[in-house]
Amino acid sequence: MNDDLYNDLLEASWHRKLTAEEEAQLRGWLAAHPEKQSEWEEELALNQQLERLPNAPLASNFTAQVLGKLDLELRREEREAARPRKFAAWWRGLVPRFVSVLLLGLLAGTAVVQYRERQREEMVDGLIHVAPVASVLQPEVLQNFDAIHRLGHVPAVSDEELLAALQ
Amino acid sequence: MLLDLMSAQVDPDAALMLRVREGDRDAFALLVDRYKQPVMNLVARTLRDLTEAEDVAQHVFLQVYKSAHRYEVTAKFSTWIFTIARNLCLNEIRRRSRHPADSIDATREGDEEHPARQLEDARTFSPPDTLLQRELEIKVDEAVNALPEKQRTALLLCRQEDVSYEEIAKVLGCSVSATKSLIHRARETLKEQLKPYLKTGVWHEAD
Repeated sequence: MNDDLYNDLLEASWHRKLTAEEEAQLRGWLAAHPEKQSEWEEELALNQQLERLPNAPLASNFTAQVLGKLDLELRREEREAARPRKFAAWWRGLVPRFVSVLLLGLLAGTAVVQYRERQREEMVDGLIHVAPVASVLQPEVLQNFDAIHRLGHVPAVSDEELLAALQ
Repeated sequence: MLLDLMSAQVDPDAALMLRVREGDRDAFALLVDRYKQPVMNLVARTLRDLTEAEDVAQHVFLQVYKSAHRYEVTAKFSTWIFTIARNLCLNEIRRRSRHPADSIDATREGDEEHPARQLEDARTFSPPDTLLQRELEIKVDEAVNALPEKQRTALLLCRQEDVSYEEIAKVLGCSVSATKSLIHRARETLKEQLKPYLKTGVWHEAD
């Protein structure tokens, strides 16, 4: 028998109790290798002590606690999942309103801009008509403006009378 | 799906897990009952704080339930749950290292209100147990707790008869030979530290 057998049996003993057949094999091997006897005894003693390691204390209602926590967790997840749905619904309701307000705003803005454009065009037209006159007007002309302006309101008959008198 | 069902026939826990995946709470409760002690043992020995350990152990099962829809029977259920348990423990240890006020060292020292050796408090000793035997058990416990995390996890999982070396290797994310090496080194450390007790013959008396 070789060392591999001993190592295999050793590894098996770390993990589980050896079967009767394995025990017999081991005894045979140790009989042929007495120098390994003390090592084997150490291994065996350590196995026994490790088996005696106490279980960590566990609450008697551990399973119930886990199920309780699971319920809480699932409810919390449901609430969290519902929150985005509410937000989405609110958002979906908000979008048409926002679009309507935006369209109204755009229309109002366009109207204001067009109105201002039109005013500006009218002003330009007026200026085009007035510009030639304004350029020839001299202050001397404006001195007798009132008298000349009043002449426009004098009845035509007066003109004829004046003409006759002059002749 | 067919593969899942075939594998589930081999591993009864996987079959339960497939039921959990369908939302079966009874199957989940069965799995919790079956695995609460091994999971708690691993978590408590890794974190060394019972209150924290129970919380993390419960979280392991919540994680199992929440991840059920992702569960595929590619490995034994025990491998999966111990991997989750180990990862959560490592996360907790990392969290503590970022917040030194809650560090493992702080809990290790302990005080009157929060004794460091909380696991020992729950022990009961039957009348035939000698003081020497109790001392030895405490020493073994301390020596196991002092092992590096990977060695300790490998050693503790090795105690679970239904968890093979291959499965332990998967939990630890290393090869089978590396796993055996970890266990070997852990045992050598324990034997070295417990040698005085061996020399006094306590081990033999305790047998």
